[in-house]
Amino acid sequence: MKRNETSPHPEALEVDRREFLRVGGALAAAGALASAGCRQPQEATVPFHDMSEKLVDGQGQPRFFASVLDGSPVLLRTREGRPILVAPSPDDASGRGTTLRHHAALMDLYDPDRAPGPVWVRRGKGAPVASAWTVVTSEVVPRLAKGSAVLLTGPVSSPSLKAAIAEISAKTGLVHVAYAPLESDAVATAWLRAFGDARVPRPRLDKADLVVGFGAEFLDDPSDGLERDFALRRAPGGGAPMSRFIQLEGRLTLTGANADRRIRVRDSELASVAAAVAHAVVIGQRAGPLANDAEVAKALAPFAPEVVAKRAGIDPSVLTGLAAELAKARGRAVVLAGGTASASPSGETLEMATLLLNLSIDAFGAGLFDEAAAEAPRAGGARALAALADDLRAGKVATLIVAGANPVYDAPASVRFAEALAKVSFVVSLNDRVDETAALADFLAPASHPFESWGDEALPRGLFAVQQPAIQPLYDTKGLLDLLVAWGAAAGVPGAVAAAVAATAPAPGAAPGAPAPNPNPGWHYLRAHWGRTLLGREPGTPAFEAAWNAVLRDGYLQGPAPAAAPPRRLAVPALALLGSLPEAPAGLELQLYPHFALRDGRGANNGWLQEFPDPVTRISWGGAVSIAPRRFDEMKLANGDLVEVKAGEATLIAPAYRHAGMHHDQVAIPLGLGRSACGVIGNGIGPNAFPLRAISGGRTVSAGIPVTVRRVTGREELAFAQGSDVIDRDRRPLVPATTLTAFEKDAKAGTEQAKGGPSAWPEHRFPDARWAMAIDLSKCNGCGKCVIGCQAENNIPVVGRRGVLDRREMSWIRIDRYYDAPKKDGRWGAEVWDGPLAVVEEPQTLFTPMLCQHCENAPCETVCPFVATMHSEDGLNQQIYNRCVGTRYCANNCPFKVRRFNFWEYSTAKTSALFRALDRRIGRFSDLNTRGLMQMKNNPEVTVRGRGVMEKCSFCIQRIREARAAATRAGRKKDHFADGVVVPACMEACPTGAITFGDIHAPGSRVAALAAHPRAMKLLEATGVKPSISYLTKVRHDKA
Amino acid sequence: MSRRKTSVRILALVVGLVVTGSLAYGLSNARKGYEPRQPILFRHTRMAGDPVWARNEKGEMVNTGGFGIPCVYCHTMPYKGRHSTVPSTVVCMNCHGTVGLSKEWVLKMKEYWDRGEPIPWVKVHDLPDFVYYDHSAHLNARNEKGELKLPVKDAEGRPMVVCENCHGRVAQMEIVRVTTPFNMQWCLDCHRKPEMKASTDCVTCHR
Amino acid sequence: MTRLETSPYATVMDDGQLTGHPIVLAGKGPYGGDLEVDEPLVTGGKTWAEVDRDICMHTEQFPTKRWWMAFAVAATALAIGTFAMLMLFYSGMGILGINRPVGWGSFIINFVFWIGIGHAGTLISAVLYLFRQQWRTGINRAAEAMTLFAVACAGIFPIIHLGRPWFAYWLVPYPNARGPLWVNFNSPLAWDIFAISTYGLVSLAFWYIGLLPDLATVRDRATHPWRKKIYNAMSFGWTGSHRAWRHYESAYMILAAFATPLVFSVHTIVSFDFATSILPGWHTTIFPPYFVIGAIFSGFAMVITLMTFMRGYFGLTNYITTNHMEAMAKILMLTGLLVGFAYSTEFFMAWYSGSEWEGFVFKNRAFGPYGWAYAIMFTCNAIVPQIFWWKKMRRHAWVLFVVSILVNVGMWFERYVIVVTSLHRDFLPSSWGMYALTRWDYMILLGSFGLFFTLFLLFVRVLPVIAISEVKGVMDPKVARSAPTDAAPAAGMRR
Repeated sequence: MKRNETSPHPEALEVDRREFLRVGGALAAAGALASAGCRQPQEATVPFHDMSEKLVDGQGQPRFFASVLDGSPVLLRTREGRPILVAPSPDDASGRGTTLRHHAALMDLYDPDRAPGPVWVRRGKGAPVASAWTVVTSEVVPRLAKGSAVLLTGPVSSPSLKAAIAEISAKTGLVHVAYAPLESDAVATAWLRAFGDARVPRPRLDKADLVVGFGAEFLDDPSDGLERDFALRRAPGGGAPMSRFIQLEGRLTLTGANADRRIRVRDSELASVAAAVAHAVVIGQRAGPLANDAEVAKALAPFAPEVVAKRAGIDPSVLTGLAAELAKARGRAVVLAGGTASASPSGETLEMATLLLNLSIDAFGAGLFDEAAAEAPRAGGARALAALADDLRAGKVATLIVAGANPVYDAPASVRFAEALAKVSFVVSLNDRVDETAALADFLAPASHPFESWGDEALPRGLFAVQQPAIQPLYDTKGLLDLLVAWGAAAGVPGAVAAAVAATAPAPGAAPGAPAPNPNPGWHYLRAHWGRTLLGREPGTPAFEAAWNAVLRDGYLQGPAPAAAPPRRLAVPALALLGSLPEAPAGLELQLYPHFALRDGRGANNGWLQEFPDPVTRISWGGAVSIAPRRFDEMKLANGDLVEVKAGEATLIAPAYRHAGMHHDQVAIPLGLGRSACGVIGNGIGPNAFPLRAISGGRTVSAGIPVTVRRVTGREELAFAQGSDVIDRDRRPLVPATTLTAFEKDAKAGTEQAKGGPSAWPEHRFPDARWAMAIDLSKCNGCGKCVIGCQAENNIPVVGRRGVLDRREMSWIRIDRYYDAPKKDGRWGAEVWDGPLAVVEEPQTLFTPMLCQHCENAPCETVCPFVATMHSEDGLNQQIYNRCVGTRYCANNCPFKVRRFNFWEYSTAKTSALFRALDRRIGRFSDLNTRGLMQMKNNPEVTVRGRGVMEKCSFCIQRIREARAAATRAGRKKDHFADGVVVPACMEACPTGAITFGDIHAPGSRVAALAAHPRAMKLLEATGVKPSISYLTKVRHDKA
Repeated sequence: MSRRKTSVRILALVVGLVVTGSLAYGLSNARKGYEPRQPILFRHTRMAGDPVWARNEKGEMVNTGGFGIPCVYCHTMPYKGRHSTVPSTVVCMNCHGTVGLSKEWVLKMKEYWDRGEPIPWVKVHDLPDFVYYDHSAHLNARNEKGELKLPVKDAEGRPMVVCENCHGRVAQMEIVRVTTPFNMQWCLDCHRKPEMKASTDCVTCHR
Repeated sequence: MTRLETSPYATVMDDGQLTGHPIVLAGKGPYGGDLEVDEPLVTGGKTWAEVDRDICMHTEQFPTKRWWMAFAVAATALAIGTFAMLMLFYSGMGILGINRPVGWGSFIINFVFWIGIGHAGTLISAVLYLFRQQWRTGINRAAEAMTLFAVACAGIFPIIHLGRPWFAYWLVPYPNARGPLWVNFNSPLAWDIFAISTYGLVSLAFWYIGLLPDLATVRDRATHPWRKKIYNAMSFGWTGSHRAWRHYESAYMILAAFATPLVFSVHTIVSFDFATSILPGWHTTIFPPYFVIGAIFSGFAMVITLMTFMRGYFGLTNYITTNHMEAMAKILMLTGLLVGFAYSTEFFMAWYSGSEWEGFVFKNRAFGPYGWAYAIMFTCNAIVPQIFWWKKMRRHAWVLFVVSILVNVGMWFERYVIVVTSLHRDFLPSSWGMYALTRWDYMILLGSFGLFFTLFLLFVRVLPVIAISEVKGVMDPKVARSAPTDAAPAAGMRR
């Protein structure tokens, strides 16, 4: 009986003594065995056939690998050789940060829609046919040798890959073109023209008292890790004073949502406004080193604040006031741009004005830019691509090798890349699947996932990281470096390339019993390259091996310091970039911003990313045309009504969304959606807005595009992951928030709420440890990495668009986003839920990570008739799946609505066609959760929940139990646990340290201190549930 | 009352007892006595049993008993991690690369080895999958005095391997058999002993 | 007003002549006032033999075409519901409309609805019996049957609303090898099990004991030997001896005393499912009385519906007279008033409590997205029954029928309002949501009605739908004994 009391899937997780590649088979076996008998199902336990001694200790234990992914160092947690968690590298000196894509990379690794091996695609004429590496090689190598070949890649930052390409190019004349769809070279141009060096130093947000952003998006794209520095100064009372952040932008971005003050300016006006502020600082305030610079004065002359402010529809005093603030904060302030707004036609002007501002407030002189961490901007907007397309059309290219780029999907329509591609005699794609571009190629030679292959990465501050694989290639794929080196050698490239390939062959006269050399040429090439450039020793020498192993352990190596930055003295001709005051923009303009989770849409087949609700719009599984609230109401629209957006020739029909804080004359659409060939999960999700982009002045333009929007018939429901947007904190004090002024008067400000009466319950006793959490809302910026981290750690299923529409999300932790409603007159029943314009036009945004509060008097515990949820001796609210029968009473009685119910069997396929026909929702979940090798991502320490069972945040009980077991093993006492002994997945993933977890009874525990902090507040005190989670006030810096 | 009535009542009583009894047993889920056949007739008596020296027909002293190999030689890790693992075939081959190559079952094992297939052993002591048992936490558990919490002497005071508390005297089993109920009741009987000071929180075993 | 020269019983009245007023006899009473007697409870000058015939007839003749049609409809509905239920077991709760935050949906609504229906029967048979309300005899049998079938329907829903119904037996505290692990006696859902099963069993016993003499009557009339055997067994070999009658009477009295408190306990405990939670709109002390009244209200409405059918289809107008219907109409009106009072009290308390959450929930109920449901509920339950202030309406068959239907529609929506509107917008605005029934919800709701009517139609086919013996007890022997003399006094007759 017992066996049937849980889902059959944990069998699949009992892989501890199984070779990971046998999991598929084991699954089936377990299924069969489980069905063998009710009373005593016979279960097989399949050991390794031949286990390496090194693995003996590893059985049932996690093993960690330091690697690098998309330019950010990560720590891979593996079990029995399966990567099961991607965490930010704990000791990362590079300052780089992780994005959602890093945390969700497992889904890409185990993606069943990856090509299982080489494919003869036949240019989309006729069905693709499976091919073999020998065939592909024999096709590619001669052409490569013949020359006039082009290698089209994404931005390449791997030194060894660069070197390999260079070597091959030197011999075969291979032309390398790098294309990054989201880059617009504004930043590069501005910095190059201004200082003769395109490298951009890292702004020190941790040193700035005042941060001014002109459409900055450092929280929307945190790959540069600025969000960490930023957070260091966002909470009051910690060493350095709180920093003030003022953002000027058109669309309410996550960055803008975290601003202390937000000024709505449409993208196309942003440049002029920035220049006007510079004008006000330099000429108005006569402040800074540029004050007496005639050239600068001349260049800024056209941008008189009064004029610009009038056009931009803001009060001139706002600009002059801002300028005054900047001037006052000279040497303590920094100005940022570089967001989507910089990709508007006036982007270079914007960047230039920003530079002027930074110069005039001594940002460089005062060391608010970390020159050591200067980075060359990722090259390659559409300029290079357009040129390539022309060459293709002109027939100058015989062979095109595409690696890590997908221009057919993401190139601007005017490039007409698909049509140009047809002119090339031979095209081979090295992407990991038959995507939009590969579909028009002759062959697909699938490259391995970074977790499966060797590589390296150049990081800021002269650091170099090794991308070391954590698993053998799951499919018949080869690493990118392996491929290029092998092909290069075959094409007769001498030197290191040839040597690397030679090294894969067993050495002549090697002892018969000797282990075969590593078969990956990329590995040999990489080591040789490191030996030459960094370690200064030959591979094979003991010294090298020692150094190499050290690098593999630490994950990175401190290389030679990068070339010093040039003196930050403005080159006068650069002022030309400012130009004269452009025409006042008329009518609507469009901003095409990267989807928060998917960015450029490369990972569109990733269920975790697709399901992640945009932190601002809260839309998951798709995107919408964001329209300013007032315009939205004037157009008599409702969320989901279809509108037609017309930009030049290109038009797009997509659902409309009432976007709070959007500038009245601006609309916005996310990029990265609407893939047509990424796989079962991502295909046809949302609109593809890439074609709407234009090329002007050789730059890809994704903002300030003039458009017309009109309503068309039809609706497409938007999958919102949240109910109401607005909170009225006077009546529902559920988010502690206040202003700095109020905070300095009373540290408890913002935590006021009704007190509860006496409790009828006997107090719980927690003799020893008691687990608790504290969340600092001043540090939390709502990025949602905790959500993905939790989803990966706890085997949380993906429910799909239908599931979100049905309000059946499963994620254990969610980020509630509220717009703070202004004070009501006490009238009984004045309502704000419909988001009146007063609230949503200038929104005050609040983020609350909401997870199980592990209440001391948990209302869920009293109502469960099956005793499936109980309180533990260490203060946890336990949820026992195998005892849960699913009355859902606990969820009804949970005031925080954090309990999740398995409405379906998410972890198996319901295949019966009949039943699928009866209700089309049945059986979709296998596509999203269990196809192919997907279940290999599952954490064997956590049960995969079956249907009809309630689940919720467990404070990562598996990690707590492991800590206790470790204490027992070491013979330590288990009454108290020091900070950091148990780190739940959300805390591990949080870049800003907003989440603190620990034993509140342990002496000197941080969480205890935070819980006692005057800013701390426990929610819904009046209900007497006594949560274990304390929220620390969100303090808004309101002092100019 | 008539004899007929009494007999009817007795019958009813018996039936009732049988039904409730079998129901109770069916729900008790006791695993005691489970003794599955393995793909290879592996005799723990031979490997782990005590040696017994006797003269064979040729008059040589031979060990007809076991070699007394300690459990953890094959079942590694119980002191370090959750699982006490089933050995990979290479462990068998450590010795059987050279010895016992005449024996039927050794050859059977060697076939697996040569085919490069793992041996599909059948789980004997098989807890449900929603039970997260940790060997290391039990084998290392010590009381204030620093003694092992699990007894190392059996009821008769004879010394025993700590494993035998749950797995029984495996070294004396031709075919391994479950000798304890191996259900939740049985776990709790021990966890509730005051001297054990063991947690009875649900999450101790269930997650 | 009818003034009769001779004894009223000399003239045979039938249903049409009933006025609802007492009959005034000629002459003066001993103290000079009018001589008044009530109108007869059984009209048409029935003899005891005719009573037997009229009532047993339906169990003896081949069913009419109308019965078959009704049965076909009911059985189809049941089949649809069964299919939907199989679907539910196959694929999980996902096919239903429930979601987060609305974790309870149509199943709990239906559960409370049917439990409510199941209240009138026992109330009529037990409470009215203890209060010596003789008019109950015409309707108590059918009402009790209705109770049982309603409880049967209700009993299904708590099981199938579970995520893993195959473990429902864990709700029963039985000795087990899990530690042992008992049920959580803090949880009202655990109390439900005991409350409902007790109620079901007692109602069953009460109903069956009431049936014994009538089963004997059917047996005595039976011609076919097997029919005789079966009904004999069912009537436990009832002889009709004085001893049997004495035991019968006392047993009936005792069970009535048992059943009476249950009428109030069951729905009180069902209301605890909501009242003991911390959810605004559920967490209310008024719920127990409010639920009990509502239950009686809906129960009587259902009795009226069924009685209208029986009067029409089985020509029982002489036994279930307009006076019976009027009496029930009065109860409906009274309980309707009480329910309306409960609604307004809730609102007053919401305002008076000064609690933000309470206030919002009730405002949201009446004027929020589910205002329409609240409107239906209030109109049907609190306003419509007030039509019965007019005697004309109380005695008008069609009005009665329509109102009784409306009341039950209203009562279903009352549960809808309570369950859904409290859940769909609670503490955190971020987790607000909406709820809508899917086609599977509707199919299973339909199925429960199918089950109810299937059982009821079978009941009217095989069992006497009116308590023969009790009806005979309230007839006037002078009329009933008069010709035709050939009718042998049946054993079921009370002497």
